[in-house]
This record gives sequence, structure tokens and C-alpha cells, in this order.
Amino acid sequence: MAGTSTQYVADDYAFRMYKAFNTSRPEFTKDIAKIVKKMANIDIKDGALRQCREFMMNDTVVDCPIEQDKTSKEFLVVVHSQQTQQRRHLLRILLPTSNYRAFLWNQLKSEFIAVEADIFEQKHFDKKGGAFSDSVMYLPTDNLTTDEIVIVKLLKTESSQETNRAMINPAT
Amino acid sequence: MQGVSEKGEVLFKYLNKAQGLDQIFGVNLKKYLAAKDAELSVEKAGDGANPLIMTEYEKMQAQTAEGAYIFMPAWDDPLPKQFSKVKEDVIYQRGKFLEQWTLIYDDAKANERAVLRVRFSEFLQEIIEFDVELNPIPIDDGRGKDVTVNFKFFNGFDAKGKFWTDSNGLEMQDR
Repeated sequence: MAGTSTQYVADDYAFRMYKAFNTSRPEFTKDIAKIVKKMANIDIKDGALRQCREFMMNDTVVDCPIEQDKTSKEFLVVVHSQQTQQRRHLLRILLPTSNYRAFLWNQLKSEFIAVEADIFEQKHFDKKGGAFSDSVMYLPTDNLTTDEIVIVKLLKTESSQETNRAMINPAT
Repeated sequence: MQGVSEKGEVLFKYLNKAQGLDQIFGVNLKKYLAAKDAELSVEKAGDGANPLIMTEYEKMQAQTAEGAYIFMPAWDDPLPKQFSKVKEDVIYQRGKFLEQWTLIYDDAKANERAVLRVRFSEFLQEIIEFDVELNPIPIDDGRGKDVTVNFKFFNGFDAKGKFWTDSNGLEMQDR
């Protein structure tokens, strides 16, 4: 996009993009629901699909905002084909807690298959300087499916699936 | 991970046997101070800021705000300073598909905080991802600040005067 060197043009550009996304999102969501129904025979209720955060086009992963729902035991994550040149190979999913397992839809077998994923706890600062944590799942999607749509089912488990971590002191 | 340099860069070593690469690089957070609020407009400047005796750069700074592509540190203090303080303990996480180092920047006195995550994975196609989560930047002192992520390459690294940046996710362009 040319001409965004002045702030008011950049703001106008962002506003137009925001409006366009809001207009196209309902149609886009309907299309995804139709494809999921056709592929996996799963019904998605109106409004049940939420948009992943994918506005930074040079990200290497896509953030899916399901961490806000801390009560659900089961999630369905649908990832549409990437439209940028750089194809993503890791799916990043923000989770409410670390005790989830991932299952990937396999088109050939017509069933969800359990897959391995890394789950990291991540620390953050809040605005007042306090700390809080969330969990992030990294799930490779390469070579698992050749479809344009990737469907992931997340099921809550009894125990935490968090990946081990260690503290390093670079001064020693 | 190699340690912390005297200038505050957190040092990493990247090894790639296939490409014969053995490169140490450092990452750090810096800040540039913007002009003081009182200097932001000629009209507001008041005593001691007579437009007639301002330099061209001072006048430009007084009349122009920074924007999406305009970077303009304060004319009287243009060099970068250390942003926040890195904690000595680094969180290291290693999964089956991805490694992550988490650097915590926390300076309670200056109210400057950030989390810097460094990720490496064979799935990222030789990309090392740096993810900076920046807390609100304090402006109680009446000065805006530009916070930058600074990289430094050691071992006599020679980029031959070139670097590449991403162009709206479409392609990498040399500059």
C-alpha cells in the first residue's frame, strides 16, 4: 500500500481495512462452515466461528483467540489456507489452560487423528506491572493434510500437557 | 545462548552445519527520546524557544509529529539509551517442534517492562522469530519514546551493505 508515510493516510488505510474485514467476515464464515460440513460433516452454528488474529501478514504463525473461553471442554479450530506467499507450518493456538490434546481431521480416513503438539506456558506483564500467564499450543500442520482447510479438535484432558522448561542464567 | 555482552546485548550462537554458519549475534531493547512536549510546537514553546534562533532541524521537529514512517529522535539527545533492565534468569522451553527463550525486561523504577521471546523451529524454515511484547511506554516525564529492537552481529559478520525487509508479507526486498 503506497502513500502510508503520513499518519492520517495510515489511519485511513487501517480504518478502511477494518470496515472491509467486518463486511466480509460473515460471508467468509458462512463459506468456511459450508466447507467444514462438506469435509467432516460437522455443523457449525451461526456465530460459533471466531476470527483468528491474522492482521500482521508477516507473522510466521496464526493466533487463534480461544483462550478467552475458560469453561469449554472442547474446541474446534478451523484454519483456512494461507493467502500470503510464505506458507505457515506451525499453527499457534492460545489456550485457556495447558491441559488440552489436539486431534487433526484426516480427510483420507475421514476421522480425527490424535497428533503431538508443544504446549508452553507464557508469562506476560499486565499494565500495572503485575504478571499473568497463559498457555500456547504449537501444532505442525505440514505433511498432515494437503487440504486448503485444516480442522483441529481440542479436547480437555485430566493432566497438564505443558512442555518442560528450565531457567538459564546467561551470566554463569 | 551465550551470555550478556558488556553493552547489554543478550548473546545467541546460531549454528548451521549445512551452510557452514557459526554466527554469534546479540539482541537488546533500546529507546530514543522524542522532543520534550514544550518543544513540540513553535507556538507552545514560549520563553527560550524563539523561532528566529531555532535551527532548521529544531523548527522541523517543532512543526512535525512522528508518524508511521517518520522517526525523529530529540535533536538535543539523539542517541539511543538502554530500555529497561534484562533479568539474569532466562526461561528456556524446549518442545518436540519448537524451542523458546524468554527474556524478561523489568525496571520497576522507570516503569519500563517488556517480554522478548526468541523462537526457533525447523518448521519456521531457518527463521529465528523475535516476538516483543511491550508494556505501555511511560511518558510521565513529558517525553515520547521510540523503543527499538537492536540486533548486533559479531564474528566479523559482513552483510556487504545489504539487508532485506518484508514488504507487507508479499516478499523480502533488499534495501
